Amino acid sequence: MTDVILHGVTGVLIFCLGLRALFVYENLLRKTLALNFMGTGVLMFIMAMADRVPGSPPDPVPHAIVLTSIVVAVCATALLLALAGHLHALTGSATLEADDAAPEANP
Amino acid sequence: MIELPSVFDGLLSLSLVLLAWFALHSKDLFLGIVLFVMFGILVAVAWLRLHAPDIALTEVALGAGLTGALFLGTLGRTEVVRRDRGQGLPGGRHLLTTVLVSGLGIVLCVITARLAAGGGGMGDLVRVRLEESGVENPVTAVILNFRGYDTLFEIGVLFLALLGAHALHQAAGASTESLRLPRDSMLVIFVHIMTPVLILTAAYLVWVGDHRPGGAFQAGAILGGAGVIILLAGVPVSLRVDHFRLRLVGVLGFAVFLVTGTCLMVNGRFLEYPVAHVKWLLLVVELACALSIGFILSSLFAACASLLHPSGERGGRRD
Repeated sequence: MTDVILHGVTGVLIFCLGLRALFVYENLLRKTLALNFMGTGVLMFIMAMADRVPGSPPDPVPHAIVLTSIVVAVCATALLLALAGHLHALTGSATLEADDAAPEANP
Repeated sequence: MIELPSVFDGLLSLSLVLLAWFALHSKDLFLGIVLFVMFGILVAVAWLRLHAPDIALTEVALGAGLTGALFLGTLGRTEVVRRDRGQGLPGGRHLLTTVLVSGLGIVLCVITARLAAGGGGMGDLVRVRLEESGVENPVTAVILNFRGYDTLFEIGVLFLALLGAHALHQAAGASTESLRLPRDSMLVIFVHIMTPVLILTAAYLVWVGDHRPGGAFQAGAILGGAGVIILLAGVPVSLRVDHFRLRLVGVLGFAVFLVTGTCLMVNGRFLEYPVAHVKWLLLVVELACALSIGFILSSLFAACASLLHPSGERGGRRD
């Protein structure tokens, strides 16, 4: 059981680190990186709970859910990064703060 | 007496938290992304410690490898951002955020401790009905058969991401130059050697996913990796989605899955596989999905790293 708590708490810690970084930084790439860490933290928590019955093999349903989740997270990251790159191509800045942007380059 | 496995797990968890901290708060974004990839690899080790080899395979290929490639590609495209000094909220709000997030963290840790003593779950249900699923690997059985709906929509999400990334790239139009890569002959030779090996490995993973860790997603991830190194080597391949054959590959997985599920409605409900034919039906669906996933992942990387050639088609498919 202590192993389950260890992995679960690690997941929670990583989630919280990601959450704080998501709020603190303005740069969109950093925010996306933070979101990835949050996702991994949640998955670690789920996987720890899947293995919580000692002595028997882990529950395969959370495993399947986590596998799906990794793939979907990659898609979401790809879209977020494509959007951030597009924003940078249009405005020259990688944040959403208007005062930080370089003079707008109209295509 | 502290046992050896627990010491290892403790060190692993500590490394993960430290890597997360340094990756998120490094001044240089490039270093942050590299640390993120290292983090992903250690997370795969953690999955192994949690008895999940299927997840470990997927995490290394997708979570660490491909996501890292996506980040680095976007970073290269927005080069000026790399040296940002991590400006963020004004000082007072830093503290407030830290306090609130720590509070949330404490609550979650308490919940973790209470949940850890629980039991149950659907493992026994799955094991009892495993022979009906047509495969011997319980995770594959759950993904492809027992919870086939989830997987169907997951492939749909992949396809949507492909459309979204390409739509953005076409919206940018001629103002986005594609990255010009130096022609590295070592990399080209490496790609020539590795591509057949990777394709074989992917085919093997689809086949072996029936009874050992493996399956369509892991195979698709390997094919995606092959696509990424082909692109990086500067092999002239056009990945524009309006090229008909590529459009076909992209939609193949979702289409085959959907059509199979619908045809099964003749004798039963949507996606209800007849026990007599389930094994080869699943194999067909898995192969189509693996091909599609591989193409979609390489194409997403091309869109993020601006490697799509905006003008003229060079012809040729991905492999």
